[in-house]
Amino acid sequence: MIDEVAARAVGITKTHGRGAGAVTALDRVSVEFARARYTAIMGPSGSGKSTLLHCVAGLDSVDEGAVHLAGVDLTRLGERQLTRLRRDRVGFIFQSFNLLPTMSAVDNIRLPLALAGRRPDRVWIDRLVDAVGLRDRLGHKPAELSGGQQQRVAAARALAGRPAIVFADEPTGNLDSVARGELLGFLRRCVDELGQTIVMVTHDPVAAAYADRALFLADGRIVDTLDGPTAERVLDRMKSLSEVS
Amino acid sequence: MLRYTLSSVVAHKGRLLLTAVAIVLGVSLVSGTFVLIDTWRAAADAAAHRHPRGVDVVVGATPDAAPTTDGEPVSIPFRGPVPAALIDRLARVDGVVSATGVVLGRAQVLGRDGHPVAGREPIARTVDPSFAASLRTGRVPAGPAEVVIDPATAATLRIRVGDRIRVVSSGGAPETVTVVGLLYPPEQAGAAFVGVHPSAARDLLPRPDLVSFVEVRAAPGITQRELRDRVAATLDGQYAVSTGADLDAELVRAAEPPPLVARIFLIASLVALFIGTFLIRNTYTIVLASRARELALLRCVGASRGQLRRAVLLEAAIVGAVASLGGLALGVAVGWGVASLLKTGGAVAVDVTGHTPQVLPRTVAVTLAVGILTALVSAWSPVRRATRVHPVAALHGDVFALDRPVGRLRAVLGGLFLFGGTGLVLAGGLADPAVDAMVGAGAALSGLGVLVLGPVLAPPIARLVGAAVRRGRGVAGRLAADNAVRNPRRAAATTLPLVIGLALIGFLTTLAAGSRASTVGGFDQTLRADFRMQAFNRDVAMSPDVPRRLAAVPEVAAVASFQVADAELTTGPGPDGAAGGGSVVDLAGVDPTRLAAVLALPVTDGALADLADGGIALRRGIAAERGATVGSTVRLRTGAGGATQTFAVRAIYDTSDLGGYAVAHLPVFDSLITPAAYERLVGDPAVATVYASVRDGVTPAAARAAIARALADHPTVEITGRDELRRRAAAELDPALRVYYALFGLMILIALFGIINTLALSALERIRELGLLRVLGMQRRQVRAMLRWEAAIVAATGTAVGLALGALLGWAATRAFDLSATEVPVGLLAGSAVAAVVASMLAAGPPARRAAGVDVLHALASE
Ligand SMILES: Nc1ncnc2c1ncn2[C@@H]1O[C@H](COP(=O)(O)OP(=O)(O)OP(=O)(O)O)[C@@H](O)[C@H]1O
Ligand SMILES: [Mg+2]
Repeated sequence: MIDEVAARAVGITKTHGRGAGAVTALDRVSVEFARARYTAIMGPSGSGKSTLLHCVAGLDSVDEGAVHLAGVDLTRLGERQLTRLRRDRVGFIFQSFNLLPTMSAVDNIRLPLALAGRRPDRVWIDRLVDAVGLRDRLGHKPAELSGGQQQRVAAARALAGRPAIVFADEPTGNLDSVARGELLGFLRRCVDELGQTIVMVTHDPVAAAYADRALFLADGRIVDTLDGPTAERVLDRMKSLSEVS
Repeated sequence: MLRYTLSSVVAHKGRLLLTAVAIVLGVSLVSGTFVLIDTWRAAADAAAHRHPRGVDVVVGATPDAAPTTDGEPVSIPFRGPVPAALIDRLARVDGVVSATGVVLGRAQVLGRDGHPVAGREPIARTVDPSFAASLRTGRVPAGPAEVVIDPATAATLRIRVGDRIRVVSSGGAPETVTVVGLLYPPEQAGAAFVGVHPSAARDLLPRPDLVSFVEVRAAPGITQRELRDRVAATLDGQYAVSTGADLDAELVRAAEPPPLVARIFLIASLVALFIGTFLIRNTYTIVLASRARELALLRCVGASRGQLRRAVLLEAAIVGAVASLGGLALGVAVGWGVASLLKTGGAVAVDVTGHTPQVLPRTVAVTLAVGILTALVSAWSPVRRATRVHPVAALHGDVFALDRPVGRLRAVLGGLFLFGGTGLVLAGGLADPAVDAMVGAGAALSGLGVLVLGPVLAPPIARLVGAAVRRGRGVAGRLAADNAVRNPRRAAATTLPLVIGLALIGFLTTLAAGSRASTVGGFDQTLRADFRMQAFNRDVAMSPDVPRRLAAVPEVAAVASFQVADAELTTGPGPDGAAGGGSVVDLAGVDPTRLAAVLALPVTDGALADLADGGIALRRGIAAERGATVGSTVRLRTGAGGATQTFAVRAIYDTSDLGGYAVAHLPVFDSLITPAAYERLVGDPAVATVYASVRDGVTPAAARAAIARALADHPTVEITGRDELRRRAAAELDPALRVYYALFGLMILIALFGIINTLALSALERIRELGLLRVLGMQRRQVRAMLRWEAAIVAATGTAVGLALGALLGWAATRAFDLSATEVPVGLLAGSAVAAVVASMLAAGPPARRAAGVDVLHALASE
């Protein structure tokens, strides 16, 4: 099935806990992430951004609704198949602790391929390494790299297997503005030049401005979308959102 | 702070449980040792008091009337006969109610093939009605046609009360009697016992004027001591007099655990405890690292370093106390297990397993103290380092390494110890003859070297061992190999227990293999005969008719009979051997031409063929002791007041290379003379033992049947085949070995548990890493494989080092003990290595499954 949509959620609901302490993190959310597009997910703390990301990425199950990822209905997949799907079709970048401390940068980049027993595409890996500007750091262990370098290694790792979609949860949360710019610029180029699909959770209007589209979540619902976001417009929306709630 | 301690004990249940299990295992061998020894004592005590028959005083021969074995005085009942007239004399002593003569002798139950079953010492005794209450079942014999036997004999021969059996007493013809009861042997635990009616006493001791000893009972109100003194006063020191209680105490001592055994067990358990402290320390280091953040937070809110230290140490003490109680319970099981091993090994005269396990207050106190102390000592340095973490630093960092880096001094010192030590062992072991002091010092030094060098040595060896896993097992293997060497100190502490346990096993296996090889080698080289014939009762020789009949058997090729007596050998100038008396030697009379057909004695000087009448052949040790050489003369005298005769030394043979265990099962004596000379000197034609070799082409079974037929008139004769003798010689060490293997096996178990414990805690510590791997697409099965291989690499490292060290030391010990053959049991060692690695992989299963089953998001979110 050739699809212009890389991932799609249809009316998904996710409740954490049960009884009196239950929290509805996602409330009948429907959303589509188009191929070769860069989407930012924004919203106040606790609004359900991470939960949405986890559900769409197949890391977490949904209570209601359906999730399609790379043309597959996730709700029908077992644990092994989900793991294989993640390994082969999805890339991840987290805020921190992205890398295995015992492995060198290049080994970390090749890790998903190694897990799959796939032969790495040398040309592609080379191109990624050059794009993140880490050629002279490949043999170093994560502890020997700066925070920004670590995140760039993580980004290269996320893209090493040419995934159908890359999910990033606050990837720039721990970075200064220079490192942030380098990482976001790299992700942007991946979308423009390599046709990658990226979904990124962020609190940062500047980061959101790198995206093609921004979604706004509040109390587990998508309350707004913004195409071609700029930092000022994003900031405006966030202000109005916090006034509403 | 006490509240913090208590709440944290509750909160960290899981991790503390792992710590506790390490302590439980560590102390269980200590408490097990105490339980075993105490239960053994209690069982010995119970065995001695199994017959409360009201015997107050026992009168028998004086000690100098009996030969001593190994310097131990022989117990009164076994000292040899006293006049029966003594009974009446004793009955007349004031305060004596009754005096009963007891006759002790040898008798054996015949098996279905008409021959005695060899193995246990045969003892027979008159059994009077005072035994009625002591019987296991049945009743006492009411006439000469009834007997009681011991439960063990009944079990092996499947005899029940009421069965008719054939019994033979020494020299006598077999009689058919009825078993009317079962009775444990009264004077010697573990003997093969036959109890006869007093009217049958003459079958045991054919002289009506003699009894073995006299049992005396006191009138009411007279104590045993009073009666003993009164009796002794009337006897003028002519006889030995003892109270019943003293005799019982003697019996208890004989059945008690020998002090050496108790000491070996205690040493083994201390080694296990030592191993345990490594594990416990490891556990604390990991557990406290994972709590460093929490401790730092407490520091931030104002807890002082000292307060924290005391709180965590108190926590350790609580865990230690609780775990000790667990160790006590496990110890009871351990003690019981070792006891049953001792029982199957036949190493213990009393049935320890039949007794309630003895847990004395002393055992509880020692176990508690040891457990708490171990916990505190093991926790001490990790606690100090954990509480020294800077408050703010702890709040930031990701994972804490409480393990200190490995110092250079350690590497240099450890290297010196290890290489110097192995060098010494090799040099001492290769020298001819081996230099014991060098081997001993080298062994100690290399052991110390392994301890010190562990953290330096473990990672490279583990890397080497892990290389195969890394190459062959994909990412999982690769990560396993990396993780195994991630923390040198931890890797060393985890492998060390395995190294120690396997080094001990390697040492023992190699030593045992060397001992077995030299025994079997000595046996095979020396014995040419196929059968040995011997009276079941070693005290009574066989009729000279036995070798005559054997010689007439067509299947038999050659027969050599040995007449044996003790003799005093002197070389001094005067006829009375003025210079310091002589050596007591065992003297055999044997025809030298026939001897060669059954035994190949390694003659170093002269020739056995020259042993004409008046010549003598000497064992080299004796010859050296007396300064005798071929051509010199020696004098022999047998018995007290016997005549002294002079012999010319014609041959000297050397049996020192045969190994003690082989010699004990071969007809090897201190001195040999011709039968004619023997008869002139000793004046007794009786034969002690006969060896026969069989014609070529005759099967052992056919030969045995022919011999048994030929000796049908000699039912007291045991016929033992060459294979059986060989097996007995080779198995001499087995009961002791089995116990050692069990003890060391327990150590290995502790070591394996240590690996698993560390693995589980490391997995907990690395949970975020595991989460990340799972997010990136590592399948659960790959996670499991990764942790299993990590365990395997650690185990293989410890195994390789331990067995190599153990084999080296074992080899050196066989050299130092002058065993004739050294043999490194490669197959057995490789087998234990594989077993240890496989066991560790299996044991890694549960923690690996847990780690693989962890929720991905939960793992990522955890600190
Ligand atoms: N494992 C969980 N158990 C219970 N409640 C949870 C769990 N995970 C998330 N929640 C709740 O669900 C809601 C959404 O959480 P989520 O992590 O998706 O928010 P978020 O938008 O990512 O917030 P932040 O910007 O702070 O990361 C929150 O109210 C949170 O408390
Ligand atoms: Mg979040």
